[in-house]
Amino acid sequence: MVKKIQFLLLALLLVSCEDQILIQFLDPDLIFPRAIKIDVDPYQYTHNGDSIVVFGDSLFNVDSICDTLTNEPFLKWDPTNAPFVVAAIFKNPPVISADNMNILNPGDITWIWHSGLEADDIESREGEVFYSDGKYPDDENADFFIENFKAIPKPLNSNTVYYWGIWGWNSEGREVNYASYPLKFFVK
Amino acid sequence: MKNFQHNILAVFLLTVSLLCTANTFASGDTLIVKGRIMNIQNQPIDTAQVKITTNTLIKQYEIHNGNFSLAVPVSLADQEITMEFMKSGLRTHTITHSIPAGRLLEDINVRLYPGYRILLKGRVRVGNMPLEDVNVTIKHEDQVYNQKTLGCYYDSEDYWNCLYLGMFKADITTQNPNDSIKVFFSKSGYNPLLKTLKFAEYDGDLMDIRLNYAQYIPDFPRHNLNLKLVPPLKPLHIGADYKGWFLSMSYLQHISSVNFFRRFSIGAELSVSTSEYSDKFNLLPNENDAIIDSFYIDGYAGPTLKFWIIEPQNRMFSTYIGNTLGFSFKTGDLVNQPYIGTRYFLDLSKAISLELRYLSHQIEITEFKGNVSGSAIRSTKSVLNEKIMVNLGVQVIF
Repeated sequence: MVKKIQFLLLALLLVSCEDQILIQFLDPDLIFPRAIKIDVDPYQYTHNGDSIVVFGDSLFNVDSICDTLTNEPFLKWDPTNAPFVVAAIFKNPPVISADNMNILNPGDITWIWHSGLEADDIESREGEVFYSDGKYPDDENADFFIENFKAIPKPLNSNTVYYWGIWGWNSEGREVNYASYPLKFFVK
Repeated sequence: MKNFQHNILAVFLLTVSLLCTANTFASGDTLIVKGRIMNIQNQPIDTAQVKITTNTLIKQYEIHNGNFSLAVPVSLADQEITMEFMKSGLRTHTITHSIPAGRLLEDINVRLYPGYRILLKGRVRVGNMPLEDVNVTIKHEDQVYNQKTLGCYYDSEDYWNCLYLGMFKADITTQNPNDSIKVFFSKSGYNPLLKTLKFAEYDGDLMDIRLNYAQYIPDFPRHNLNLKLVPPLKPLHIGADYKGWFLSMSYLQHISSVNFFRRFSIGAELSVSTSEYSDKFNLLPNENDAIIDSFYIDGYAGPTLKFWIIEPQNRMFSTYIGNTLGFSFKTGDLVNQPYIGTRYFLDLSKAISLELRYLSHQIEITEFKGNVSGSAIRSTKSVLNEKIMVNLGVQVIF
């Protein structure tokens, strides 16, 4: 009987501690700290005959060093297979709300790709995205709405620092479940 | 003088002889019957009965140790003598003999054969359940055996023994294998049953007796404890993707057990209703809709009143209508839950019920709007949740 009560109490404790268990996976460096990390392993791509090496996560948080990419970078990450995935390039580091639920500066997004664009018969797939397959805001000064991102992307500005990242949802679309680090890069 | 004495003695003897002869001719004499009575192993039978029948006499004697010598009064009118030799458990042997002039029947050797004996045994069930305390009355000619079927008991080794549950047995003998045996079975709450069989038909197997429940249960079902659990049959209002469950526990007691008010029962009910609501929204252009299933739960407690359209003693399909006035734990509202149902007794104290119930209440649902830059944006909305449920329930009646 005592064992049964202990088991019951343990089960109740586990149920009541669900939030605390999630907190164990919190990684404050991710764009969405409560999410599962999307890995960006080092990769290489070719642009106008030049071979560009991207170090991805391995340069994250390394002082004064970041990837140097072309103005139309090729982005690659470990696919999540999540039903909804967004990759974005920010003009400034993404800022997350105190509840870790929302990006507070979506207006800094200058380029975006999302899994819905795969229906457009483009070459890019989740995990491997060409800059030209993404979208650019019709009006850079307008509020952030994904519906505003329709234009063919303009090349990124040279000699400028940008940040890129990926995040995704499960089929509920309620909360972001997957996220990468915000990866800083310099456009030469 | 001596001759005179002889003459007197001769006259006396002649007179006595004449008197005896006259008496014989007037009231009869004695027939001596001698013999042996044995079983089939040629062993003498102790304590047998013999019934002597003549035209003028019926008399019964008891024979001991197998040998008999009977003095049977007979008259001149008696021509035949019939002797029935009887012994319990053995077949009766009858001999008819003419009465000899010498009034002596010797060497009457009788052999009695074993009688017909059966151990009538059986088990009484209702459905597949052995039934104890069933009154079993076995009638054979003028013999009546009354007994009850056995229950479980603690045996000599203190084990709870149910080997003989529902069983009866009776040791019956007869002279005639064509004799009939009637076996009556009766128990309160069950239809009585009569089984008739002949001795010769019984093969010694365990009789499998199945009783059926009577139309009415024997004791008025005054107290009802109910448990109901079902998914809703049909949502009426909230949306096509609505799902949920309903769980209810209630106790009801009949107001009376004798008059019209026995059709009313009152009690209290505690119920829980769950609702699932699927919210769809478009998160990314060209993508499938995101679907969020939300779960809502509300509990109710309150009085319930039931009216039995078909009387509650009916074992099958006693039908009722009723209403529960439930106090919502979540909103504090009073919610009517009218219902109609019927009950079917599985045995005399347990029943299943099928019930149609209507529930209408307000629930606060959360709606979502997709947000590309983070978590979905939430808002709440109060909606009317109406549903009709088919409850499948179990009842304990006491």
